[in-house]
Amino acid sequence: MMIVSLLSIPFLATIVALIVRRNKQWLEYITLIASVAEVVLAFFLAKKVLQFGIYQEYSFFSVDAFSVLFVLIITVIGMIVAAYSIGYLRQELEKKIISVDRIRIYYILYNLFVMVMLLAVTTVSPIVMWIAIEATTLSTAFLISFYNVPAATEAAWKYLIINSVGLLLAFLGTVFFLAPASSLAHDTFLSWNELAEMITRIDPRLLKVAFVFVLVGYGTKMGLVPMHTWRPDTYSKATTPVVALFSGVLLNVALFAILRFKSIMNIGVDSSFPEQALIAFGLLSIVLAALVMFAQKNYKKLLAYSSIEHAGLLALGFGFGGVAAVAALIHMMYHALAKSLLFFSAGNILLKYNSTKIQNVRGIISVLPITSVLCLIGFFAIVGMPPFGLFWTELYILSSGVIQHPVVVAIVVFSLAIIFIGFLRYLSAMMFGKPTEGIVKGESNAWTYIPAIILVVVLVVLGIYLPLPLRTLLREASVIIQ
Amino acid sequence: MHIVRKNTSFIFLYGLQSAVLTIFLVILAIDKASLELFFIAAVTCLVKVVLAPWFFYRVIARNRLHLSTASAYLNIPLTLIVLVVLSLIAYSDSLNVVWHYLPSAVASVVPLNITVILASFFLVINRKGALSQIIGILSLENGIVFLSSFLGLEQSFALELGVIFDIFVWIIIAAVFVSMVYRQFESISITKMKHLIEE
Repeated sequence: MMIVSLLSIPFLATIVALIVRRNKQWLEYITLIASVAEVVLAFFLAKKVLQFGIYQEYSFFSVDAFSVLFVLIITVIGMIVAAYSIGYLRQELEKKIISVDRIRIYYILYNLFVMVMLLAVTTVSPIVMWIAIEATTLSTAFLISFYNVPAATEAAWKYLIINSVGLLLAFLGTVFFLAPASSLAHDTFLSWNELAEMITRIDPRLLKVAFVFVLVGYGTKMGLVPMHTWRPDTYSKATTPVVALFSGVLLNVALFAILRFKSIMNIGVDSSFPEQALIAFGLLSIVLAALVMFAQKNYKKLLAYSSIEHAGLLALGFGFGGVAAVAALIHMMYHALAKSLLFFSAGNILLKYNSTKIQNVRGIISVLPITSVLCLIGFFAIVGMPPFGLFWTELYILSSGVIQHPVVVAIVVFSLAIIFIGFLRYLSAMMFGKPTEGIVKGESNAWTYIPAIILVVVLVVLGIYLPLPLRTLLREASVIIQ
Repeated sequence: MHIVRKNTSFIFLYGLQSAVLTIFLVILAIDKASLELFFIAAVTCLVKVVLAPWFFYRVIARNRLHLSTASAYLNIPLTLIVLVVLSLIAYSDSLNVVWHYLPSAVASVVPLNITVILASFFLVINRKGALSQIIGILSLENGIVFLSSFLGLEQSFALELGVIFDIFVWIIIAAVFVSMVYRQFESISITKMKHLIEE
């Protein structure tokens, strides 16, 4: 009953949030308690997977080393974001940007969002996974138009339309995978395992067509170039804690879908086709992100393009395969932590300066001393400076690809250098200088920086030392997807 | 759908397309003597033929959009040329990999299905109206449902219902968004959405 309980907790939290009408503290603590319970269950689930390899419940849910990694990322980041949401939304309420009613809507949709992401990675069915990922679009559309202003509605509209079309293409790809398999199996509820068993009997050319649709469809959700256009606007207009979840978690859920199909493809056809496709999308994402980040005016959009860059690096890592794929799995984890940290810092800056424009933000170091340190740590982590884990993962991804794809690696290294310079240029401008007039110095409230400090601790510890159970999970997960 | 300009006619055509899908599902249910498929057909009819058009007509009535028309980026002759090209692509040999394993009677219908999918995709791109884009996406979904049936994808009852429920929620959210767009932009043309560009 562990997976069912894991899914029931956010569902129950949603129901309670629906019932509790105007009691803000109830809404906050229910979500936080639910998130802590989800983390505890996720760790128990990981323990079961370590013991038995696969943990299955009824014939609908199954978790292996690969999917439990995603469960851990969703629940841990989800818990920290839930804690940060308390401080962030309290501050917005105090500034009369939002009402208690909005906070209630936020927590209802937040819990739903977490639930459907957990469903996507724990179900055995590719169709249920599609339903769950489509449900992430539905549950978050109103979190993007949260402030009910034209720019936010426009961003939400863009998000809804682009992602819906993308996910329909993913659905079409899933149909191409499942239709011949279901006619061979005469089964109406095909699981990943059954699909893997049937795959060698399906025409490889059809599988290639199917994978292209799946990659483009879920790649839209992941934010790979050229399907990324919704991402900068959404990140810039949506409420900041949700953006942290988008970048740290939702991106990974979309990647999960692509990798599941890629592992099926590896059985059915020559693995070079999906790998080359991933390398192409990855390279394009990194190059475009580098060019746009160099000329950016909005710091939330800057972080959005950084997410596109890292989505590209992940695609590249899984495209290169072998050691690079293992490094990409670890990279995914570090990126989720570091990017959430940066978005928390961005949220604190936005609360203080009331602007997302880089030119309106000066002197963070004296105005927000704790946030500025957290932001700098996040920056050094995300650009891959040693001793942070992302340095090692990027090094492994690129070094393992350099023999077979030297040109690709050279372009990526050059792009990463541009990203570093661009990022540093804007960050130093925001950090130093005379603080903008009329800004009151000091942090908002402890809830806005303590969750970020927890992230720093986890990021640094995991960067230096990966515990043995986690290493075992990563090793087994890399076997599953290759 | 590509030629029609009035929003109300557009919604009617979507209802009609969904009605054809329902009839197809009923025929399939009779052919397979499946009670579950009958139920799916009934739910499809309720959601896509009754509720979806009703929601959208209500949005039109509430926001007094009766006279509003949906303009497109390309004019009608150019639109028709694009549609011809899309049909040629759908019927081309390069895509026969999708249907070559099917019996010839069924396989002959698949290119038509792919044409519907491509034309719907083009509809979403070509139209300037928010409502038209939504109908385009729903038409795309109808096309995929048709195709999955022809390709022989047999899904369990729960999965079918899950997909329809997802679409139902999507329709509600999309209808709310069209109203929001109209309230905030005083138009449902997406060309009025310029707040993100001006930043």
